[in-house]
Amino acid sequence: MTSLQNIKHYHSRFGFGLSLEDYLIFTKSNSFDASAHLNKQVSVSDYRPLKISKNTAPLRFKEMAEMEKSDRKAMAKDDRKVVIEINGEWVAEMASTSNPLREKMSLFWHDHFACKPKTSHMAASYLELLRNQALGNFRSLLHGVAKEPAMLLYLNNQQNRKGQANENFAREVMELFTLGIGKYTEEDIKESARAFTGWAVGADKSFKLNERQHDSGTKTFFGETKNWSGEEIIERILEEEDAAEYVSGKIARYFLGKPPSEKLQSNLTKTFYEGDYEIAPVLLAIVNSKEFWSEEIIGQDILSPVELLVRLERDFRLSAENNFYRIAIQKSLGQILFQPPNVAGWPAGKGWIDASTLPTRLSLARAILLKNDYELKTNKSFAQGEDLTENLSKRFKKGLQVEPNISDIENAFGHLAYADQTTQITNWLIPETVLAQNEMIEEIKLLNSQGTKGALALIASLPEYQLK
Amino acid sequence: MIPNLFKFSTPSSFMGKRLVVVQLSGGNDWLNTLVPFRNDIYYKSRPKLSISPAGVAQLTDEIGLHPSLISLKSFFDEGEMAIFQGVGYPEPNRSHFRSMDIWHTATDGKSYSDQGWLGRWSEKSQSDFPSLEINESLSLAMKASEGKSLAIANLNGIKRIKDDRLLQAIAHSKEHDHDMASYLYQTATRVTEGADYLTSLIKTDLKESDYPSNVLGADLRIVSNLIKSGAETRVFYTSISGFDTHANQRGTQERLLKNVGNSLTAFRNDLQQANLWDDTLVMVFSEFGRRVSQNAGGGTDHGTAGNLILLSGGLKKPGLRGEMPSLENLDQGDLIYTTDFREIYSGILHDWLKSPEANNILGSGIGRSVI
Repeated sequence: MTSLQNIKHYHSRFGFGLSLEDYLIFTKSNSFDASAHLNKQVSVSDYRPLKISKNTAPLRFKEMAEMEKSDRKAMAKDDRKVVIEINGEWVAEMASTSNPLREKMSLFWHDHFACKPKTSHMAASYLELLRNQALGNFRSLLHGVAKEPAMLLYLNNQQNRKGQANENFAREVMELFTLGIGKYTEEDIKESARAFTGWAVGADKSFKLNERQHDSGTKTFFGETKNWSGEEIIERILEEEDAAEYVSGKIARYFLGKPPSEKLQSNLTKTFYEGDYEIAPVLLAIVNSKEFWSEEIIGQDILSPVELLVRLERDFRLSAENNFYRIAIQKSLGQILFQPPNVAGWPAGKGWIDASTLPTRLSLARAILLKNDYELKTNKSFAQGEDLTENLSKRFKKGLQVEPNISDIENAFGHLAYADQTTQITNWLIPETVLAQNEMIEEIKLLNSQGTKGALALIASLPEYQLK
Repeated sequence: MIPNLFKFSTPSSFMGKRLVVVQLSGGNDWLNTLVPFRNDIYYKSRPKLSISPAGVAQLTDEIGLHPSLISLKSFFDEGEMAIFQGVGYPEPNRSHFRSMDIWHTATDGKSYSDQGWLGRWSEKSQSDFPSLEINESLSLAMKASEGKSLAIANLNGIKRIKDDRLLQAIAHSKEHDHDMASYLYQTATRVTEGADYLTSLIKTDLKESDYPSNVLGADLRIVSNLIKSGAETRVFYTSISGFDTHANQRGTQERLLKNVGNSLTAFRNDLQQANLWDDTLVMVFSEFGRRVSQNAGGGTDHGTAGNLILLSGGLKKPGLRGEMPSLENLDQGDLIYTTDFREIYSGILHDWLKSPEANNILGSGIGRSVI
């Protein structure tokens, strides 16, 4: 195991891939200490809200109700545009931050606490809670999420009233957020739903306990009968070690790309439970495990669409007048931020890949770097110029409307012979474990005189670029 | 390299029967879809949400269609519709995902599987042709370890794949020994072979009846294009979502069911004209029905048993099938199932797709409904 393999692996899992700068520094120093790096990332208090988050305002539904229908529609449409702006600014932050782990964990929580916020104000409030607490404590994160207007509305708790309970919220709190299926009874759901009655969104669009709708009668939850409040239900759930196992296991799957071994899982459960649900110790235990560094893990996972987008954005220094390319890529690959398919969140690993998404993934780098006017000078038919933008889905008919800037890459590698440039680029971008006797990469090396841009476009169009 | 999956035979020689699945995602409220319009308990349980006897399209003395589904009445009257009642499974799970998993994998609800019932069928079938899902991605129902199933979002997608030369080079390069890289390379091979086969079939000058402009209509239109072009694909999969009507159900369900009814009617008319309707079976299902009583938000919560609808010109036993569950004798407010959905799957696999493997695919001890 080389240390180049290690640094690439670490950054691809605990960040959004090895940056060009970090790669160049590494080629000189040839040393890397993952757990020191992680320690630093979890201990800096560098949380800042996104600029746009501070600028969203709650929609006044009462006032909207009195408006003309067309005005109301226009207002809602404008607000949806703001959600797209938040999406774009968050992606930009992922690609440029000095602490990618915070954004990487926020992305995890967005999947774990999957939610489609109804308005931009709710989206910003929900996202900033996740970003602020991403590396903090799960207990306070869970209490916070349970009172986020976006979540209360998404899980229909506005309709959860005394005498007419709506169980959706109570069910998902246990099934998806904490315990997992099978660790509670249907009776526990019905009773805890009563404890969450009246948890609502007030006129000012923040959490409000609506006393008149709240059922303050006795409820029997996990065998105990008393007047349970919603907060007490959450606290009681967290007393179950199953919650620590379920959540830490899911965190481990996120970083490992597969379920942890029994041994690692029991270590993580203990760490999480005894550490009172602090998140950082779990991350450290994963990076310090043997498993994380094994060949069954390295390069054996597939980038999520958002990870791929962030990589393209950072590797090729993308700039654009608007967020079109960010949304277009998210849409065509099946992961739009703030629009998870359902409360269980997005797929993972092989689940991202099918007959429609794989060809699109493999054409993005060419569409961005080569566009229509660029022709590779070669006889190899696969590398000849073709109308790649047209080759993408019809969403990209006008192209991706994005400009790459690869001058840093050209400065770093441009002076080398073409074959050496491709070696440097693969060393930087592709997991070590797939490089041995790689037919397509050898073919690309033989193409000759394609320049840095051509080499980049072809290598980033290989399936290997999709791996982490 | 995996072997070429697709043989290029003369398209018109294919005479087999095919299955088209229509999945209603989110848990359709079947009680308001096939309305028990003479049942007092139904009206008492749903003071705000019930559909009045005058509003339904009456099928029998007991059951009527939601007004948005009036276009399906002629299917029933002409013997092209089988409505199974009280369809579910033991110890029902009220989670969307788990219940959908159970429907997709046809497991007994206690065990988990990453292979779907149609995926397992395709693995065991003699057919070399890909099962096809019209979707951005493949549903669990269609997955199998030696997956022959493809997911495509639209027809242009197939042509673009065929024309991407780098993708073709990747598809034809030599095998990787790295697991995940090899998975991607093999997928590329499968995708390009499938695209080559399908582009050789697609006809652009086919006469088509009018399809409504909703997601399901667009997807069924692709399916009918491929069927009429002679695709030897035996299983097609489509879905439409939005049925999770916890709140404001009335308008939402009206709109969704109208899309379903109109799309299915266009599909039938299209295939009837091409003389292919008798060999095409449409199965409409959802992961569960909804609770008998309405909730406080003008909607209904997750429930258990519901209906399953089969449509075809070639049904042996059309009409109302199985026993309607009692609306009085409930399990935690929900219907108790009377027909296990796997009995219907078994009938589809055995009677319709003529698979000798139905018992192996679904496990022994499952009864079989005549299709």
